[in-house]
Amino acid sequence: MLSKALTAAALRPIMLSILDRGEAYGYAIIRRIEELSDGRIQWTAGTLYPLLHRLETESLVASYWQPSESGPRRKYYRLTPKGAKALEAEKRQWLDVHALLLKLWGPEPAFG
Amino acid sequence: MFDLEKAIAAWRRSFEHRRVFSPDDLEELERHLRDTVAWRTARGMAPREAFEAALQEVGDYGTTETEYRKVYWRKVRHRHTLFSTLASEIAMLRNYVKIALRNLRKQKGFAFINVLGLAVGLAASLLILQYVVHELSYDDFHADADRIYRVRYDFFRDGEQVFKCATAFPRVGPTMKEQFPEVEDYARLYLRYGGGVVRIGDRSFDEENLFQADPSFLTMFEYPMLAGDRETALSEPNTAVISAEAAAKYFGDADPLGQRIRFGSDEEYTITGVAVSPENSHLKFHFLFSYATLIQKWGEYFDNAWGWYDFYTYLKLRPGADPAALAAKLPAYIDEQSEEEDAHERVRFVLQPLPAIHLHSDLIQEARVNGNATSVYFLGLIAFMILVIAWFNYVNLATARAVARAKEIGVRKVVGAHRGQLIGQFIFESLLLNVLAAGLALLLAWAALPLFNTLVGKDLALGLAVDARFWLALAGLFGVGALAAGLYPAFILSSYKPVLVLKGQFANARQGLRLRKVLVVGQFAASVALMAGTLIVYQQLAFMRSQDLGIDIDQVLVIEAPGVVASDSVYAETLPSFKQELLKHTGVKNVAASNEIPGNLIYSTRGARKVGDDPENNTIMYILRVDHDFFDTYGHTLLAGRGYSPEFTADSASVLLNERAVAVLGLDTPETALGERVRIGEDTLSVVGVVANHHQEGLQKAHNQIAFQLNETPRNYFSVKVSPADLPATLAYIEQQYAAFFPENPFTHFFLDGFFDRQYRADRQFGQAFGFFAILAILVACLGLFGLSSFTATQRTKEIGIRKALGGTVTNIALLLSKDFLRLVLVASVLAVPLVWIGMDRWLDTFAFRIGVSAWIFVAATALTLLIALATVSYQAIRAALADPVEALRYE
Repeated sequence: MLSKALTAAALRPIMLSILDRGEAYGYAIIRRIEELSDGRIQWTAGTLYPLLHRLETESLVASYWQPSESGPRRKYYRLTPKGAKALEAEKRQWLDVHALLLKLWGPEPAFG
Repeated sequence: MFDLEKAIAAWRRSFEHRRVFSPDDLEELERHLRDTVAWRTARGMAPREAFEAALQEVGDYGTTETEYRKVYWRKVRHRHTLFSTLASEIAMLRNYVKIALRNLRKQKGFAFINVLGLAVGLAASLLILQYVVHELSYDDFHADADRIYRVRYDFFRDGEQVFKCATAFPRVGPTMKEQFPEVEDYARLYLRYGGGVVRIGDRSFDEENLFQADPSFLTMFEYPMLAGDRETALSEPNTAVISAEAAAKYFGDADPLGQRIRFGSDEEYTITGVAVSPENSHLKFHFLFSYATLIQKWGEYFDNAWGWYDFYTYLKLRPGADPAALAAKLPAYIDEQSEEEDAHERVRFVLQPLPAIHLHSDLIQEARVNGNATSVYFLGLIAFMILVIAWFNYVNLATARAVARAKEIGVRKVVGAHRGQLIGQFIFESLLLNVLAAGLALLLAWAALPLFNTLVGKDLALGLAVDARFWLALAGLFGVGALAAGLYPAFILSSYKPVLVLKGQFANARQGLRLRKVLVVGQFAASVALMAGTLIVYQQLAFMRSQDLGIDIDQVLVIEAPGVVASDSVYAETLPSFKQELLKHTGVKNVAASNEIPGNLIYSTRGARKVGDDPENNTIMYILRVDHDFFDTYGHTLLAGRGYSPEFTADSASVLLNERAVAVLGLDTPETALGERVRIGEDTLSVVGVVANHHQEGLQKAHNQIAFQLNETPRNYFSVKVSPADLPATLAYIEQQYAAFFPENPFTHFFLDGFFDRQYRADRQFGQAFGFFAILAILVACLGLFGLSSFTATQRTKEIGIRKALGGTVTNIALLLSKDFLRLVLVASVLAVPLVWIGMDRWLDTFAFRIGVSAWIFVAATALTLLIALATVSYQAIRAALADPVEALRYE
């Protein structure tokens, strides 16, 4: 399980990345994260929906209702162009951290 | 048994009353819950366990709410930007309306002054704008107006311009079309000068505005055709196109096409078309006769003469052609056509753009009295001045009243109003006042239209529903006014510091005082200028009408000479007996015949020089053909020699000149001129007399050189000097004799003094319009002054009370309150004087005989304005001074 702090920090990039792959509704997003992380990262609805709503107020995502065959309608979310830009920024930051950590953990001693 | 629906409903209820969950959010969460339950039951879990596990996963109410609460305010604000902002804006607007109306109601005087002032300003502007638009609309109904030019003829001698003429030579049109590829077409027009008698059956009418016109005239110009074919209507000799008015007058409802009319003694025309001749054109025609008639009846020189300048010549250039390039080719063309050496130094043709003719052309032989760009601009300026004065009123009164509203602003700011909102509110108030004013202005303009039409001598209709430009103008003036007048007070008022205001430390009543002073000075400078201008216009008019004309035109009855006579010889026999017969009546003192009368431009001109002078020295000479009785009838002053008399049988070879002609011909003095021989046109004549210059035209025009040639039977006019006693009987007698001697001719007559006076009509109208709008301007300015003075009086109520209690007299106090304003008016006068001086001096320069601008005009205008201002201010001042001091001191 991820620490609380890291979960919180990873919320935005994960959400934006998932929606970058295609439109989705909340429940599907949770299942997808679970699947992709082999159950190591699990979000609750109480985290997911407020996050989506926050991103919506920032105009990074947009939502719409879609009728469903299996029951009541579902609310779908998709990335806006502004959201796509925000994702690019997030990506760069995570890759920076990632690159740094790789170097630090690599075979070369960091301090000569 | 576990019921999933009941369980979900129960779950839902715990969320429903919390406002952080919108119905949308709940629906989304519920769907999430259902999905989770479905996923678990699908994997073999019992419904109850599946539901409980799902609840755990979704998170219980407590944790969920915390997360939702974090975004709640964001969501609220986000929604606001969409709907709530709109709702609150509308609510705010309603508040603005309410406050603005309340303010209007509370400050009736202020509202009245502003609305009335603005309405008067707007109404005046609208009316004048209509006039300006009409004046600018001349000839713009021709689709190709921008490539039609009139060829103007300028004549020079020794490099000096002798005259500028609206007409050119008959040969100009056809040869220019032939030689210059950029000329698409030409059209000539020949005015039948002096009009004539048109007969149909046994009815006959004296008509004016008759022209011979090339067939292309109808295709080049787009006068609307009501009947006939514009392509062919004037191609044949003896065909005519008549105006719609003429068609109605002659034929009523009958079809005019194919009807025959007779003109003069021996011309006959078949009507081939009816066209509309609109008012807004530099040409007004009633009859267009085919040009081919002229050539067939009188000869080819009507088609190819060079040097005979009686022919309006219009050119239509091809699209994109450069008129300047064409003009550059004209000198060579002139040299080639005239076959004289360096002819282009004497003859010059200028291309006048068609739309510019009405306002910018005042030449000899104009087809019609043209408009005057200067008066159009002057009136436009005046309208603008009135409007600006009204706007100044608003700014002045609004900033002056700022103190009274300071508390309101303070409270508004404390409760949370942004500065932008306050500015919006004040601009809205200005907008509201302007709406009221615009409505009232429409009413005023509509009511004042007949008066305005008499003032400017037009027949304008308010183009209300039909003309988009009218509404555009109204909207434009209204918008600019509301913004311009509203902006400054809005900024001032919204800048107050609430803490100071509410603590009562706000004593800044002097804020904006300097601006108010400047604006008042501006208003009254404009008023004084308009007043002085009016006085100068009227003084010049009075001067022109009181000057000695050099001849006596009182009690002169003019009869238009017969247009229909069997032949010249019959006319020559009839005229003397007609004159004899008239003189038998005791009321008739003199009878003279001439080709022109005073009050008319002399249309007939010839080249003239002293015998022995080089033909190069030819100068233009205006020719008056007169009979033996002309000088006796008009009473010219004889300076040397003699007048014409039947005793001198050889007078057909004599000429009388006026002083100016003596000077122009280089004959030195009247005495030395006697006996000299001069060449006028083809005639060589000897000078037998010299008369003093008389004013042939109004005093706008300088004296022209005139040669009086004897002609015992001149056409055009009979001048009858009558005695004032029993005029109706004399008139009846003359009419009876005229009918007996010249049957078939209508009896058209008028008194010469009235006829002469019509030359001043335009100037008189200008003066009236000037005066009228000057009064309006002063009225609006005084409205503002009245408002300001009443405001000052209220402000100083306490001071006045104390002064009175300490023994100040009513006079003292009234003076105290008035003198500030009067000082401003004085400053305004001082500023206005040089402007008016320069402006009016230029206007006066358009007159050949003019007054000087005298200082007393400014003294009078200043005194008058001061008096009006004093009356306005003193009402408030005296009222304040008379108030009971006890009341004043108890005030508060």
